[in-house]
Order: sequence, then structure tokens, then C-alpha cells
Amino acid sequence: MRLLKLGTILAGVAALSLVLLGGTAMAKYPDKPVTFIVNYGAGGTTDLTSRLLCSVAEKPLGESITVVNKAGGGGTVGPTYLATRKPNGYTIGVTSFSPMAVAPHMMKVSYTLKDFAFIAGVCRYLYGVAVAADSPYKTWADLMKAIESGKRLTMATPSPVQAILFPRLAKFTGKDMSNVVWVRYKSGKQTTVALLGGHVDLIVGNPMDIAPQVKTGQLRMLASASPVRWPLLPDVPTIKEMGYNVSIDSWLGFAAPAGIEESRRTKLQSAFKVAVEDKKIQKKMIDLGMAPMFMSGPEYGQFCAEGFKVMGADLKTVGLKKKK
Amino acid sequence: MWDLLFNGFAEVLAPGNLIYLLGGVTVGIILGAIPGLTATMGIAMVIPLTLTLPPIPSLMMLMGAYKGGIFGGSIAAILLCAPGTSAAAATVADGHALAKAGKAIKALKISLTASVIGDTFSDIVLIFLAVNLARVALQFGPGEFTAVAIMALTIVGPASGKSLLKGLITAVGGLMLALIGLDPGTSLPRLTFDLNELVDGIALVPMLIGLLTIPEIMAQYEQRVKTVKAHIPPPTCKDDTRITRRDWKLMVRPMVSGSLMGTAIGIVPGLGPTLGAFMGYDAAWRQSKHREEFGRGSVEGIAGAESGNNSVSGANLVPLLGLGIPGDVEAAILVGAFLIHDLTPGPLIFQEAPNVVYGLYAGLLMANVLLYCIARGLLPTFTKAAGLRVTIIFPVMLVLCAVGSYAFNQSLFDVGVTFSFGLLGYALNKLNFPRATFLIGFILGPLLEDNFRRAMVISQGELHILFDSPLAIGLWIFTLISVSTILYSKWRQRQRVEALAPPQGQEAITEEEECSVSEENKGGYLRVSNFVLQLGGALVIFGFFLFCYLVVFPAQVETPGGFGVSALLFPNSLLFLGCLFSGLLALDHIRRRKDYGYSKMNYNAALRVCTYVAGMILYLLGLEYLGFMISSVVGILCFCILLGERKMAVVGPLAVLAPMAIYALFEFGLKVQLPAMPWVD
Repeated sequence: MRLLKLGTILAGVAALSLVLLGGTAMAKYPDKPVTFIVNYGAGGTTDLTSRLLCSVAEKPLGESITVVNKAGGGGTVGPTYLATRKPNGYTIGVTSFSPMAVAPHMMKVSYTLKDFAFIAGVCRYLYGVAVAADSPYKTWADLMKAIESGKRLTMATPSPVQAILFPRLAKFTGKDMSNVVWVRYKSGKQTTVALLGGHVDLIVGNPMDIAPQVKTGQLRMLASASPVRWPLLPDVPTIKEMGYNVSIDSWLGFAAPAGIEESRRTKLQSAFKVAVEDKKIQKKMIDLGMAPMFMSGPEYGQFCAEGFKVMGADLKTVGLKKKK
Repeated sequence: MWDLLFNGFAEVLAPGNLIYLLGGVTVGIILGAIPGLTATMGIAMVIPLTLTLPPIPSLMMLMGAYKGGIFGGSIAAILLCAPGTSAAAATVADGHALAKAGKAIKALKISLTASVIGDTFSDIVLIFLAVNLARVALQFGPGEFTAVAIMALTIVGPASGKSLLKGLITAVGGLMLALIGLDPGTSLPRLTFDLNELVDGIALVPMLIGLLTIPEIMAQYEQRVKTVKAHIPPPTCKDDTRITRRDWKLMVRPMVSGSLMGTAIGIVPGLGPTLGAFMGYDAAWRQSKHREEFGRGSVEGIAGAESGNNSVSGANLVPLLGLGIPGDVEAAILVGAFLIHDLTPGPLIFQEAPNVVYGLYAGLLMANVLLYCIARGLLPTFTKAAGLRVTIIFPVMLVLCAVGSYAFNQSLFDVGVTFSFGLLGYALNKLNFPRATFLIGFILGPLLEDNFRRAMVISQGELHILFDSPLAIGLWIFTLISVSTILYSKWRQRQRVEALAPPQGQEAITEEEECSVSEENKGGYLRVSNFVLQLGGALVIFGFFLFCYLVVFPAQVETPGGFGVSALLFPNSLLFLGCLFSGLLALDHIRRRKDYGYSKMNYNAALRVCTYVAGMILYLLGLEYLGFMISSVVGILCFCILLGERKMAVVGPLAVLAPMAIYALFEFGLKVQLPAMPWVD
């Protein structure tokens, strides 16, 4: 009898504390620092951009954000780790386009898009086509004419994401463009060096690898391969503007593990919205070669899902899809 | 130009600016001296501090950290046998050998002098020739880089030590290890066994620490330490602590050639200080009259390697300032620092901000002076720390090695890599295989394969691209000369040995000494023929290469068409060479079977090695499931006791304080989170 009573009291206390704890947790999120996983090494573009945004998002969030780098696996180690964390909103991280929509076609990864609750898309990575200053191709039209005439051209890029541009152009125009040969380099900077030294004919690269040399007159950018012009080189038109409905679009986006409460997700989403729309931060992101733009979490998830399908088909046509 | 440089000095010498340079150099030396923490991390750590500073002090702070870091690496290499940074890998063998002979301070002073001189030389080259040399660097295309890689691979000859075949086998092993990761032609994962952690390849720093440091700890552990002795013995005479006139005479030539080598390597983007060190070491060996000392405490070796790696640092800025291209990872981080201050590195900077450029030049030269002074001041402290008993220093070192490997990618997988390569290094040591050649293969593998594959794509499989330019032809001639001198010197060596040595016995004794474990160990032992041991080793390696060829590679390398030469061409060529060399080695053993003696395999020692391996596995599991603090405290405690330390009054506080100090350094100093207790979310 006594035992029973004690049991009831204990159960009551437990229930009450649960309600209290749960209640406070509901009322206030976050009440401790949030850990943010970056999937590339410290000092790179993705890392610097994410750190910038986190430093501003702390204020509307009301708690500090600790950035942790989990690099490796071509950017897939970070999301792999993130997917296995508790969905309590205290661990979030980078789920950029490449590990979401490209890498799963080329290597075995343990996550799918369903493992994430996307918080926001925060900016575009930008791509452009550039040649050396002394190249015979003065304009995009010159280059296309040479390609269509069947001339063999070497193109340097650090990953298939950029190299996919010409297969896409071939599909759009219905012409064979296998004469544009892909030479793979380890990094964007290496492609710039190869282009400056005259070892390749053209590169498809990021603003950080092209814009400084364009400004010093060593390189010439022929077109932006992104859906938008580059804020750093606003005079160069996009490929789309020149009549080819083709582009490479890749975003930096953040997510929490799937299963997070919707209220917490929206809180994070609005915090990062504030960060992206901060004018000072936008200027710095542009200097880092990004095009700041906000996309809500569900929109970004949709964008990744569509990109996943398109990339899968494109990689299959060039023979770069993993066998299994 | 002179007045600009003069103004630069005036600015740098202002007390406000000098402080930052001082801070940068000190931070660099200390971080570089901790195994696993590299010059790169030093720079990355200093960057946030420089955000609010004007450009000149912030660049000075960064350059100070960079230079300090590269020198700092040699402190750990000499005192702990652990390369503080990968650039110090070439210094480990000779530096630590000197330290073990009580000449630690001499070794450190040699390293410091060579570093500062090499550095100053390359800074001067930078100041006077930056823009012109940058143009030359652009001539290096895939064909030329392939030739550079082959030329650099000839270092394997001198680095092999006694047996060229063994050196070649481990070099092939290193080249093969470098195959893991993304295929350079297709960027599909290769030999990754579906592990995401392997997609970017085996990380250099954890591998390096494992291969060079852990075997040292294991060897100590294997022989039960009866008398607790100091890790580094004290100097025996005054000459042990200073650079004597004889040393100076020995050092001059290696320093000159090392500086030239390092500067040349620094100017070409993408080669880096580690290669500079090995090339400097190689150049010293080639000119030396005391080649037998190399690897056993050669003054010339240290001077060559250290002037070689430090002289890369100044020359690395040649492509950065001349073209806007970073020469290596450290320089790439510097680009970020320039951009933060609205400066675009590249030729325009000479017009846009000449005061910054010349301030930087003056800062570089001043950094060398400060590096010399600060390091001289810190040497006694470092040496004293390394003079502690092994039973205390090794457990802490093991934890530092683990944490250092963890820090770079914050990945426990890398700690596993360190421990595994520790075992490999231990096995290689036991069978008298050189480890340095393994590293050389691993470092040069990507340079060779990536560029060869690129060249083949560009030329549509025509080999003439490798010989197209005068530069490439020059490099190939250099390679030919290098190979022929190595073969000639090996031939001379063999003749001399045959002339001197009695027909039998001599070699047998040396082999026995190296293989057998200490006589101090009582207890049962097994008599094993060295011939069986060595032949067995060669056959196992042969079997491994064959197994890779038949089973592993066909399954793990995807070969889609249309990306130049077949993705299997390069890997299979390596396997062919591996089979060839190990087969020849086995034949060589059979041919000389009468020369071998016996070694004693001690049961006790074998048992101790097993407990050591079990201990490392337990520590790794502890890091994963208990977090850093608990597992490190327990780990240090157990390891101290197993090593034979009996003074609990020392062990107890050490086991608690050392992990706390390490934790504080990483969490608050470096902002690197160490594995936490998983139940605390």
C-alpha cells in the first residue's frame, strides 16, 4: 500500500517534471549554443560564407552558433554525420547542392534527401567560362563557332559539376560537342594556372578563380554559366541571355536532421533569412564569389530533389554514374 | 625600389607592428612543435585575429606564423622523433639520432641556422625576381610536372639506405597508397571500399605521425624499461651543445644547395615545403663525403633538409605576388587574408599598394631575425621538456599524436589511420625496410599520376607531350644524370664492401643485432632464422601485390571510357613494379641465404606488442564512446604504469593535468572541439 503510494507520488513527480521540462523546451528554443557542421575544410569559400551567415544569425536566434568543420568525402562526410544527430535543433549544418544532388550518383552515401529537414537556401555558387587573354576566342559566339566546326578544345575544371556544361549544350543544340575534352584538375586555382600557362584552351570556374585575373587583364570571361550574371563582373552576359537555354545552378543550403519540430525549423529559417538579407554580409558574400539569395527550406529541398534527377541523367550520359 | 624597401623597414620596425610579428612567430613555433598541428593550422588560427588590423601588421603576423611553423616542425622531429609538420619529415632520422647521442641542442641549432639562412635566401630571391620568375613557373604544364615528379622520385635511391630494392618496394607501396581517393581522370571514387572517409584519400598528417612516431614509442615499450631513463640524454661535453667549426664546414654546402633547391621548388606552384625538404636532403647526400652518416645523425642531412623546407616559404610568394596564384595550401590561406583587406594578390598589387608589398618584404626579412632570436630563447625550455623520463613523456606524446591527427579533419577515422600506420611502420622497421621512401612515394604519387593522366588526355595518348618543351627535356636530362649517379655510387659501394668485408659473417652479425630484441628480457624465446624472416617478408609483399592485381583493383577501380588512357593503366603499372621488385628481393635473399644469422624472438616482447596494440584499440574506442577526457586520463595512467613508471605521485597529477592542458589548448586556443562524452548532448 505504502509502496503503491510512493509509486504514485514518484510517477506524479516524474510526470510533472516532464511537463515542466517539455514546457520550457517548447517555450524557449534555443536555450543553449547550436552546433553548425560545415562539410568542407576551414578557410574555403563554403566555410567562410557559412561562418559569416552564422555570425549574423546568432542575434535573431538568441543563442551562439558554434561552427565545426567535418571535411572529407568530397563534402559528404558532414551531411553523413548530420543525418545521424538528434533532430532537436541543436545540431544543424551545410547541405549544399553537391553532396545532396551530385555525390550520391558518383559514390555510395548513407543518407538520402529524406534524412534532412531543410532550413534554407542561402546563396548561389557562380560559374563562368573563361579563356586566356591571348586566346583567339573573343566572344561566346566565337567559341561556339569553333566548337561547332569540330575543333578539338581542352577544358579544365575541378569537378564534373562544371564539366557537365558542354554535354548540356550539346543536348540543347542537338550537335555533337565531344570535341570539348574534359581535363580534370584538383582545384579551381590549378585550372587558372593551366589556362594562364596555355596548357588548356578554356576553363569553367568560380569567381574566386577567374575574377582577379580578369581584372588584371590576364584572362577573359566569355559568359556566366549560372542563371544570373556575376555581381563581380556584371558586364559579362549569361549563356541563357545569348540564346542557349542552358545553365549550371548550384546552391549553398543548410538543414537539420529530419524529424525536427516545425516551429524550431522555422525559427532557424527566419534567423538565416535575416542573415542573408543583411546588406553588409551580402557585400562580403559577393567578394567571396557568391550570389546571395534566399530560398525557404521546403523550396530548397524541392530544388535539390529536382537537381538530383537532372544530374543523374546528365552524369549517366557522360558515363560518370557509379555502377551499382 | 630601395627607398620603398627602406620605408617598408621603417614601418615594420615601428613598435606597434613589431609586436604582431613577434606574436606570429612565437605562435608559429609553438604550434609547429606540436605533432599534428601544422603551419597551415597556425595561419588559420591567426587569421581571425588579424581581421581588425591594418594590412601590414596582419600580413606580418601571418607570415611570422608560417615561418615559425615550418621551423617549429623540426623541434618535435629532433626531440620527439615526431615530425611537427610534414615538412620536417626529412629531418626526423638524423635529428633524432643526434638527440639520442646527447646532441639535441646542437641538432636544434643546426636546424635553426639552416632554416633562417634558407629562408633569408629565398626572401631575397623573392624581393628581386618575383615578377620575372612567376612567368617561368607558368611554363610547367602536365608534361613538365610529370617529368618533375619522376625526377623527384629519384630521391628514393639515396633514401633507401642499404638495400635499394627494399627502398623501391616501399616507394611503390607509398605510390599505391596515394591511389586511394578520387580517380584523377574521372573523379569517381577508387579503392575506397565504400568508405566515405577514404574518398579524399588518406590524410598526409595522420599517416606521417603514425609511420614515423608510433614505431618509436612501440620499440621503447617492447623492451621493458628497467632503469627509468631520460628520453633525451644530457650533453656529454661542450661541443654537444654548439655548432663547432667542423660542423660549420660541413653545413655550408648543404645549406647552399638546399636553399637553391627549396627556392626553385617554391617558385613552381603546387610542390610545397615537404618536397623541398626531401630534395634538400637529397642534394646534401649527393655532395657528401660522409654518406654513411645519413640517417644516423648527419649534420649535413639536417642542414640540407631544413634549408630546403624553409626556403620554400619565401619563394612560394613568387607566384602569389607575381600571378595571384598560391604556391601551396599555406599560401592559399594567405590569399584569403589579402582579400579580407581588399587587396588582390597578383601583379597589380605592385601598383595598387606598393607600400604593402614592400612592408611585407621587410616583414619577411625581419621575421627571420626574430625567428632566430625567439627560437634561441625557447630552445632550453623545449630541450628540458624532452629530457624528462620516457615513462612520462611517451604516454603524453601518444595522446598528443592522437589528438593532433584528430584535429585536422576532426575525425576519429584519422586517429585510426595514425595507429594503423604506426603498426605498418613498426613492421617495416623490424624487417629493415626504409620508411622515408614510403613517404616520398605517397607525396609524389598524386603529382605524377594526376599530371600524367592530364597529359594523356590533352595529347590523346601521345607520349611526345612529355618531351615537347625545352624545359621538359632539361628535366629529363637531369633525371638521367641523377639515376646514373645513384647507380654508379651503389656499384662503387658494393665494390668497396666486397673488398673490405670478410666473405662471411660480417653482415650476418649486423642483421642479427638489428632484428633481435634486447637481451635484458628474460623468459623464453624462439630462435628464428633471419633468412626465413626476410624471405617470408618478401613473399608476403609479393603475394599482396599479386592479390591486388587479381582481386582488389579490378573490383575497386571503375573504368568508364572516354577519359584518356584507361583508369587501370597507372595502378596496374605500379602493381607490376611491386611484383617485380619484391620478386627480385626474394631471389636476392635466396642467392645470399648463407649470409644470414638468427634472431631471437622473445615471447615476452611479443606479448607486450600485443597488449600495446590492444591498448591503442581500446583508446580509440574510448575516444568514440567515452570522450576525450575520460579515455585520455585512463589511457595515460595505464600506459605510464605499463611502461614501468612507479612513482604514483607523478603519474596521478600527470594523467589529470596533461589531458586538461591539451583540452584547453584545443578547445579555447584553436577552437577545435575534441570528442565529447556522447551522452552529454
